[in-house]
Amino acid sequence: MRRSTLWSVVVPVVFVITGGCVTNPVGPVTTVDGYREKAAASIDVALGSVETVRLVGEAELEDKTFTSFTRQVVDDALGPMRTAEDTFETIAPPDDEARALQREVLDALVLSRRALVVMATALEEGDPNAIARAVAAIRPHADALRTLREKLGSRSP
Amino acid sequence: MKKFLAVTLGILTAIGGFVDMGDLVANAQTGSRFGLSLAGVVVIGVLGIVVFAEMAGRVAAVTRRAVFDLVRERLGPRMGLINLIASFFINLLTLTAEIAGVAISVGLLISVSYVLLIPLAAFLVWLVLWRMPFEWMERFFGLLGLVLIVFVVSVFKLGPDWGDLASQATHPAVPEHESLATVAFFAIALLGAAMTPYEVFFFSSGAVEEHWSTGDLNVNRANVFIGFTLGGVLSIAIMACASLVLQPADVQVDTLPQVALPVAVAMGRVGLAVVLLGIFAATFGAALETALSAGYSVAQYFGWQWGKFVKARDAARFHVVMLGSVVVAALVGMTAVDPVKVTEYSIVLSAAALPLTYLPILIVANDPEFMGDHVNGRLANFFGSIYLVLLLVVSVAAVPLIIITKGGSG
Amino acid sequence: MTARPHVLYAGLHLLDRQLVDADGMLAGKVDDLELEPDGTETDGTGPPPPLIVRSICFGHGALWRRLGSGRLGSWLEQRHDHPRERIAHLPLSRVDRIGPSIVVTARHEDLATYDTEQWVRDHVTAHIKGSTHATE
Repeated sequence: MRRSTLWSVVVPVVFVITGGCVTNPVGPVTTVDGYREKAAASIDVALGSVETVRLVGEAELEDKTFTSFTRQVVDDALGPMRTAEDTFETIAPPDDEARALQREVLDALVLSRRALVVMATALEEGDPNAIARAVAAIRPHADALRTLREKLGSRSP
Repeated sequence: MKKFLAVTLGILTAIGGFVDMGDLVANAQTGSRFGLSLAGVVVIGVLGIVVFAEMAGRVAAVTRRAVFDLVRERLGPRMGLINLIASFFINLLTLTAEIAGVAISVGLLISVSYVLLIPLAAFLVWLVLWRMPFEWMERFFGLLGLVLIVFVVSVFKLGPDWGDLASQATHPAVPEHESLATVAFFAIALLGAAMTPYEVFFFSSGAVEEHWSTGDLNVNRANVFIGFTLGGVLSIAIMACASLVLQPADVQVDTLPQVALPVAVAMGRVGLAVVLLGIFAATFGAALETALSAGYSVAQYFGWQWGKFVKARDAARFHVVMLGSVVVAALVGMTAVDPVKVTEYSIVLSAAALPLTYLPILIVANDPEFMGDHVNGRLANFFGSIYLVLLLVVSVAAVPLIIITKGGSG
Repeated sequence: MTARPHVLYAGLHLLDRQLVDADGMLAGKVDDLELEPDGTETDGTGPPPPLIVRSICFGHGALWRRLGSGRLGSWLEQRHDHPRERIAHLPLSRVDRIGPSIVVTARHEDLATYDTEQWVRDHVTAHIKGSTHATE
C-alpha cells in the first residue's frame, strides 16, 4: 500500500476519533424542545452525581466504606456537576418559556451542587453528625432533580 | 496429582487474569444503564475468545511460534505492518488505561491522588517485566486477581430478585430513553473488552515462553475453556452489581471508584478493601500483559529475538520497546486524561481491530504445513468463521458509532 | 519436514520467514530475495529464462525498500556497505534448512539485523542492572 493510501486511512480516523471526543453541549439552540434536551442532559449528569454521593454517603454512615474512598467519590462527583452547571448556563434560551426553564434548572443544579460541597466539607471535618446531616440534605435534591427530569420528558438520545 | 494441581493452577490463573480495566468499565457502565440486558453479549464475547485463544495456544504449542510471528508470513509485510501499527497504537491506549487503573486502586487504598502514583505504578510494572520470571508473574497476579470473586459474592449479598435478573438477561430490552445506537455502542464495547487482541498475542507468546508442546494441548484447552468461561462469570457479576445498586439510582459509571461502590454497599469495608486489591491485581496483570504484547508484536514482526526466557541483553530491543511503551503510557496518564474515557476508546477500537487479529489465527490454524495433524477441526472452523463475519460487522460499525453516540455519552 | 524433494515457492516458503541461526537464536526475517536468471540459453525471442533465488536478503534497508520506500530503504542499506558491518545477504548455500523457519549457517551477531540490537544493547540496556540474567 502506498504511503498516501496509508495516510488517507489514518487522517480520517484521527479526525473521527477527535470528533467523537467533542460533544459540543454549548451548540446554539433554537427551539424549546432542543433546549429541553440540553436541560435534560444536564439534569441527568447532576442526578448521577447527587445519587452517587448519596449512595456513598449512606455507606459511610453505615461504616461500609473508608473515608478516603468516600472523599474521592464525592470529589469525582463534583467535577461533572460543576461542568454541567457551567455549560448549561452558557446556552442561550431561545424564548421566554425556555428562560423560565433555565431558571428552574439552574436553581436545581446550583442547590444540588451546594449540597455536595456541604457533604465534601463534612467529610473533611470528619464530624459524623455533620456527615449525617449532609446525607439527609442530599435526598430531597435527588428527588427534586428526578421530578424535574420527568417534567422535561425522556432523556436525550 | 501434580498434574492435577498444575491444571487447576492454570485454570485459576486464567480466571483471575481475565478481568482488566476494559471489563471493569464496560460491564459496570452497561449494568448501570441497561441492567443485565447485554449479558448475552458478554457470553458471545467469552465464547469468541475461548475459540480463538484455543486456536492460538494450539498454534503456539505445535509450531513453537507465536501469533504475531506468523502474521507477517501469512498476510505479507504490508498487511502485517498495518496490523502492527494499529495493534501497537491500541495497545498503548490500553496500557495507559491499565496503568491508570493500578494508580487509582492504590490511590483509593492509601488516600493519594492517582495522578501522583502513575510514575510509581509504571516503574513497578516495568520492574516486574525486567526481573520477574514469566510464570511467577502470571501466577501471582492471576491468583491475586481471583479475589474479584467478591463481585459474585456481592450479587448474592444484595439479595436480588433472581427471576427478574434472569428475565433481563434472556429478554434484552432497550430502555425507552436510550437509542439503538447507544445500545450497539455498548455491545461493541463489551465485545472489545471480552475479546481484547492483546490477550491473544500475550496468550500465544506466553505459550512459547513457557515452552508448551503438543503434550500441553489438553492443559491449554482446560485453561481456556474453564478458566476464561469462569472469568466471564466475573464480568457478568460486575454488570449485575452495577445493575442492582447503580441503575435504580440513575447513576452512570464514569469513574473507577463507582465500579467498586456496589461491593461496598453489599459487603462493607472488608469487601471494599478486597475489591480494590482485586482491581489492583487485575490492572497490574493487564498492564504487564499489554506491555509484553507491545514487545512481542514489534519484535515478532521484524523477527527480532524476543522473550523473557532469554537474557535481557540478548533481547535488548524487545525490552526497550516495552520500556518505551510503559513510559509513553505513564506520560499520557500523567496529563490527567480521563482514564475511563481512555478505556472506552481502547476497547471500542480493539473491537474495530479484532478482524486484523483473528483472521491470521484462523488462517494459520488451518494450515497443514504448520499444524500437521493439529489443524482446525470442523467445530473450530465453524465457530471461527462465524465469529470472523461477526467481527467484520462490528469492525465496520465501531467507528461510526463512536461518532453517532459521541463516545457513548449520548 | 519430509525428505522427498518438492517444489518450493520462493514467495511462499522463503519470504518473510523467520531466520534462525545455528544456535537457535532468532535473527530477523527474510525481508527480500535476490533473483537471477537460471542460466538457460535463450535466443532473445522466446520467453525470458525463469528466475531462481540467488540469495536471501534481510535487514531494515531490504524491508523498507520492499515496502515501497526506496529512499529510506537505500539509505538504510548503504549503512551496511561498510566493510566492517554485517552481512545483509546470504546465498542459498548458507541456508541449512527450510521449514517453518529458515535455519542458516551463520551467527546471528553477524547478520545485518543485529545492528540495532547491538546499538540498543550498548546504549540502553547495558546501563540497566540485571540485563545479564534470564528471567526464567
